[in-house]
Amino acid sequence: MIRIDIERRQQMISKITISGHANADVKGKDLVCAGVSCIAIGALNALNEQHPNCDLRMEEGFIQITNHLLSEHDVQVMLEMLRVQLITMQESYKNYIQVTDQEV
Amino acid sequence: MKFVLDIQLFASKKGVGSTKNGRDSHSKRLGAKLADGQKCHAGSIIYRQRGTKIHPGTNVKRGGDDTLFATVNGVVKYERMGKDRKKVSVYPAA
Repeated sequence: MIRIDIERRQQMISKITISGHANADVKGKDLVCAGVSCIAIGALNALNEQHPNCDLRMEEGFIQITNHLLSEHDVQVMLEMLRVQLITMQESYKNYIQVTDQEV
Repeated sequence: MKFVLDIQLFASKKGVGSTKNGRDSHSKRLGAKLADGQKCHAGSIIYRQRGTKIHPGTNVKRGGDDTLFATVNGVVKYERMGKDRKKVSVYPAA
């Protein structure tokens, strides 16, 4: 199961953490993992290009985006887009993806 | 791009193991070639087998590969041999 934790401060997305393993199939054939990987890594590169100050971390089975620029509107737009893309996947693959979205 | 796409970043660690199986020989179509009560000619193959599942009876011989064949024209008869063995014989038609 891939866990996606979205944290907000004053309704702004402050952190997105994606961790775990989909286990939808063996490595190399796991389509759910492929979808999440593409969405998340694409967002990392986009954020890295537009806002190098964002804290972006990527390791095997782990991605974390920490947003210190809560006032930056376009960062929020990019993070919301990432959220919607991930939820779109989660709706189709509930057994493999779990999303939590909470104010901290 | 700073982050290189690993399309299996969230895949399980277990990779695809290789299997040591996957081989098989061609089937040899063993078994009965003539049924009980069937007519046969001398030399006809009655039963293909490995070892003696069925033993040769009257007018039946065993070939090098344990094949049972008729030595006369007649009718095939499968019979018991002892407590738990079988044999096949060929009786000339009356």
